Amino acid sequence: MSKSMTLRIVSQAVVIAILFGSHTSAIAHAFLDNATPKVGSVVTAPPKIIRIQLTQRVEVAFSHIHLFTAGGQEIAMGPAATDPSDQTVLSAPVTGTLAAGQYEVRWDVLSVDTHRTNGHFPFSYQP
Amino acid sequence: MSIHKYLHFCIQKYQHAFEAFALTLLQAALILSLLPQSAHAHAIAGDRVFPATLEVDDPSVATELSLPAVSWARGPLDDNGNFPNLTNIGAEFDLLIAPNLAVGISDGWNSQSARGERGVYGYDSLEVSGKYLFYENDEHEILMSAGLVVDIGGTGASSLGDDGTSTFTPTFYFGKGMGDLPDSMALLKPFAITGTIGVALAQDRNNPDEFQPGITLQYSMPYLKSAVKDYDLPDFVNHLIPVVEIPLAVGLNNGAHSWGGTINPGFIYMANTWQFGVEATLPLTAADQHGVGVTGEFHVYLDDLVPAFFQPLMGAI
Repeated sequence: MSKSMTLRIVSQAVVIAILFGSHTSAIAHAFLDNATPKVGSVVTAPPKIIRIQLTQRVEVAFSHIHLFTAGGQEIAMGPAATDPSDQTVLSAPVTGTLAAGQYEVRWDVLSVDTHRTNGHFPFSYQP
Repeated sequence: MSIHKYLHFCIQKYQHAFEAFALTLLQAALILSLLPQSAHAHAIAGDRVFPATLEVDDPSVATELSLPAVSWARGPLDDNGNFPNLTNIGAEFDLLIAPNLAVGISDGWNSQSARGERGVYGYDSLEVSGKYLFYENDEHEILMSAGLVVDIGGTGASSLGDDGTSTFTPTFYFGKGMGDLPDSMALLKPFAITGTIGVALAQDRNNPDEFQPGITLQYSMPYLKSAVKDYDLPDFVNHLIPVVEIPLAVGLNNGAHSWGGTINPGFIYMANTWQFGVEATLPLTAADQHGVGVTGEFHVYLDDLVPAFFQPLMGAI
């Protein structure tokens, strides 16, 4: 196969791919930028709310925050909500009671572009 | 008949069939692109985002563009007693055609010059590739892919070694993050390794086949901040991934049995939709290059940068 023919085929394929791709919805990734409590921090008062800021806007109906003890027991949380002025901020109230110890926040979100990401981070409560 | 000889026999006898198959696959992909789609794919396994490394290809499948990819080094001593300057300016485009399947194309322009000598300039052989992500484990941050890389003979400059024959390189790609280490080793969790294992099979029996392993060791500051501990470091630092890449090759036959390669320490700055990487290249032997070289690359995640344009063409395969 000659180089010119190869290039022609590939360029045609790319053009067609772009044309087809342009008719579809988007994908992008929402990663954790920062959190409250801070990732890996030690807090002296039990947090009343878990707040995470992501690198993309997220769909609140398909985004969640969970809190677990070091032993894997889930702590009760209220429903997650986005900040009305900033859709990259997702937060959820802690309704359960926290004892001193290590905790793990697990989050999973759907970006407004329909791409799912998830992650987890620790913090400690030491009154 | 050994496996090597049998593969060579197949490549030579069925070269046209391979090309026809590739074209048919491409046409099928385009037709299937009309079908409804679902979207997901990137170099992500759980909390881990593997960056696009410069020399050792990562296990990800994504729609992405490397432009430019530039390298410079001084070659080994030539017949005139010079260490020629070797410069390569290249580009690679990868297109996700299904959530776990990508095809790619790359090429590069070379300059080989030395004082008092006539320079040699020209293009590399055109390289096309296909890669399929067949395993993802979010909990243990593991990705595995398999692919085929084809250097198409006759598409590059003969003065730079293109003898008109092709090379077929089946390759296994892997990535493993260390996020599943115990909490007592928390500061080691941002480490990750990626690597490739490939066997380059020369179409021409007079050219040597090569075993081409490669490995990278990387420490992700974004991972440290988002999954281990936020130290309030400057934002620039929180986007850095220090990395060491070690691409290697050894001949398997035709009298070529010596190892070659480089050790490349450097860093990658990873933003949301693009990344930039720069590495030094340290030769493993004097036959690889003279002294320290440098390589750099600007890389764009097209499916994030222009999401309305780029997403998988087909549904799940």
